[in-house]
Order: sequence, then structure tokens, then C-alpha cells
Amino acid sequence: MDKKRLVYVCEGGDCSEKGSIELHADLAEMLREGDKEGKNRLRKYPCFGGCEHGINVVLFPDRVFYSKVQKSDLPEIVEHLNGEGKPVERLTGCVAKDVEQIVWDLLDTGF
Amino acid sequence: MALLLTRPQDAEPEGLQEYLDFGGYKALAKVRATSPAEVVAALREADLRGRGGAGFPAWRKWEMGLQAEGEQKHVVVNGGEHEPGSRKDRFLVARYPHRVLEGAAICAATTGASSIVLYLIEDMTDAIESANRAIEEATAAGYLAGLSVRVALAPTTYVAGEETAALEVIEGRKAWPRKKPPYPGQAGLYGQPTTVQNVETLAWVPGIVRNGAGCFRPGAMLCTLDESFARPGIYEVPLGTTLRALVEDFGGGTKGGRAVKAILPALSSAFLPASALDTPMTHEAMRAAGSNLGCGGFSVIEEGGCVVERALSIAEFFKTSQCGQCPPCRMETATIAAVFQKVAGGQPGEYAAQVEKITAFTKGKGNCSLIEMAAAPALSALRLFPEDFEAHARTGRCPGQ
Repeated sequence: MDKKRLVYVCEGGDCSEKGSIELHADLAEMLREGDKEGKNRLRKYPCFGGCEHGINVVLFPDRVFYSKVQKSDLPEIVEHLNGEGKPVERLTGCVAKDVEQIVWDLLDTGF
Repeated sequence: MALLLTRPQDAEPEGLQEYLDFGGYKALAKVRATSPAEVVAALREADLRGRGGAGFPAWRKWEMGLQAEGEQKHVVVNGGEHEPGSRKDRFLVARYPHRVLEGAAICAATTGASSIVLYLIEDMTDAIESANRAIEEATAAGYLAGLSVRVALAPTTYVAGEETAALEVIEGRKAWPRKKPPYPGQAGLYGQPTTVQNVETLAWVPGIVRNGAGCFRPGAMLCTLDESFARPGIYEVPLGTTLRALVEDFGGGTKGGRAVKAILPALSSAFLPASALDTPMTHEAMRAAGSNLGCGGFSVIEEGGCVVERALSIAEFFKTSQCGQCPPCRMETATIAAVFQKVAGGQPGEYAAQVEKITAFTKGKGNCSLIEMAAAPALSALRLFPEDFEAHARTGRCPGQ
């Protein structure tokens, strides 16, 4: 069974306007360099419904929902992804609880 | 016998004199001499419903317009027929402009409006030309006395046909639906009471007023049959006609001559299976069958055809056509399209649960009904034709291939 953590970057309209595609590429580069053990798998996601709080990045199965992510936040995010430290608290808790919940429900299906 | 499409399909636009010979503008004169309440009662008796897709009773909109208080009231003729596969409104304005105009003038006389805006999509060149000519003719002949009548152009973007998005466009802003309430009947154009009514709905009104509501019952609707039928075109279809008769008698059967596998009353409606072909075309019966009459832009899928590909193309249409205003709508349309892309590409798994969950979450959210419109074809396709999806998810190909 695949135990890797999934790291989703939203590629929806709002997030991509805010630069999510570039952020995804930067994150991919940083994980290539830093994630030597291959703990994480980076993916794009169609839309997390938290458009006004983009760029949204979601960690699963950790159930961490980062919002308002900027390039300058990536070193801290990657540090956690590489197994050091905790999730970046200040980037969490932005979106409504029901939006978070539907995202977990959808990701739980494993599709 | 046709009540609305009384002229040959390829006839030139109906000019004022021809319309007067047909009895045109007599209904308007009659309305101006009677009480507005009688007109509302006639529409109620005729059971005329909105033909833009929602099927809302016309009399209730008119009554709201009549009862609304305001120094100035408006009528907006909604020709924002953006639904792919529907062409009946542009056809009516292009070929029968005076019937639409008289219907709008009757609505204005009934509700107490002093302005009429004909809202037409900017690419409907023949309809725009026809509307402008009819306004000139009717104004010169004095039929529009006391009314300000003008054409306003809609962008081609899908959401611009939603009634409050239409008001935004007419006021010079982008086509984003408004939060409701207030409804246009309360606070519409420039915040003033406005009756927004679809082109076809208004085109039925002069006949109902002139000949009496009884002549309209059981009523009829215009349907646009697309290229999936042997005889595509715009037809006047009596309400109560079965879907089977629509396909066979009007459409000449399917294009390829095979049996019907699924029928779609409009892009934004739910699919119905072949077992529902004996459903009569009434609002109630179609709802009971699990779909609706929509705007009557029908298409069929024949036996051997693939529901997944059609559902995917519809999902992609809604993903790119949603206006971007409401996050739940973005999320739903993007999710459905992504899920169907994966299925079409051959990825098995919990795709149906994804669509069920996201549509349950978004139901009732957003400023307009696009969320429901995108959900209906997706959910019905999955529920009615699971074997098509399973085959696609397993092999990445249509089951028939």
C-alpha cells in the first residue's frame, strides 16, 4: 500500500491567477532536492472551493489545509514535509469548516 | 394546428402589415382597455410557464410586477439564449419580431412598466436587425406610444442569460448573477421593479389574450432538436406529446436510425433513459420522471452511443462557462470535469462517490442555479448508465468500441 503523503496544490481559476502553477513548480523543485526519501507525492487539484483564500495547498492524509500560501512560505512547508517540525500553523484555519470537510470527504474516496 | 409558428419555416421575417393581417396588436389594444388583473387571470388560466428553462408561472411574475410599487417599472425581454442546442428564441425574434414585441408591450401595459429592453446576444445578428426594424415599424404606427423600447446586447458568455446577470449587463456591468432576494420583480433594473421574461414566453401572450386562454390549453412549447435527430430543427410541440412522439414524429427518429438509449431535454437537464420515452411532455410528468422540460433544446444518444463522452463534454462546458463568482460552483464544476476526465481516460475507483458528494455539498449554494444545472446531467448519467462508466474506467474506451 502506498504510504506516501499526498501534497495537493490547487490549480483552480483563482489560485492559478495568484500563481499556483509556478508555486507547484517551485515546490516540485524543492522536494526533488530535499525529499530524498520520497515521502511525498506532489499533485495538482482542480479546485478546493477556498478560492478567496488561495493559493491553497492540502496535505493528505494529514488533513492539513494551507491557505494564502506564498513562495516565501515554501521553505517552512518543505521542512515539515521532509519530516522535520510541525505543520505551518499560521497558514491553516482560513477556510470554512464545511469546505475543509468536503475536501476530506472527497480525498477519502481515494479517487 | 400551429398556434405560434404559423408561417413556413423559411419565410422572411414577419413585417408589420403581415402581422396586422394575422390579427397582430389587437391583443395589445384589448389589454389597454381591460384591467391588468384580467390579463393576469388569463395567463393563469392558460397556465403559461416561463420558457427560458425554469418553467416559473408567467402569471406570478406579472402579478408581482403589477403589485410592485415604483415610479418606474421595466420589462426585460430575455433573449439570452445561451444554452448550446437551443435556437428557438433567436428564431422567434428573427422571424416573428412583432409577436415578441406585442407580448412585451402587453406585459408592460399589465404591470405598469414604461420601458422595455430587448436583451439579445451580440452574435444574433439577424434577430437584432429584425428587432430594431420591428421597433421602428411599431413605433411609427403608434403601437408603442408611451413606451421607451430599446435593444441591449448580451455577451456570448453562458451565464449572461441568467435573469439577474442580464440586469447587470444592461446596467453596464459584467454578467454576474445577483444574490436573491430581492427578485427582479421587487428590485430589478436600476433597483426598480422589473419583469424579466423569456422571448418565447412573451411570444405566446398575444395569442392567449386575443383568442382566450382556452385556445392555448393544453399549451405548446418550441423545441430545438439538434443534429442527433434525423430531422433537426425548431418545432412547435403540443404539451402532453410523449417523448417518443417527439423523437419519432417530429425528429424523424435518431440520426443513425438506431433506437434511443438516452434523451436529454436540455444541456442543463437530467438524462432520461429509453424506458421513460412514454413520458408526456408536461412540467409535472417530466419532473416525476427525474428531469424537466428545460428550454427544450433536445438531443438523443442512440444505442451504441457513449454517455460518458457526452457527460464529459457537458461537464467541461459548465467548468469553462461558470462565471467564477461563487467558489462552490467553481469547485463543483471543476471536480465533475476532472472526475469524468479520469474515467474517460481509464481510471477505475470511487468516481461516482466523488460526484455524489460534491453535488450534495454544493446543492442550493451560489447566486444562481448553475450548480444544479451542472449536477443534473452528471448525476443522471452516472445513475442511469453505470455500465458505460465502468467500461470506460476499466478500459479507457467506450463500451461499444
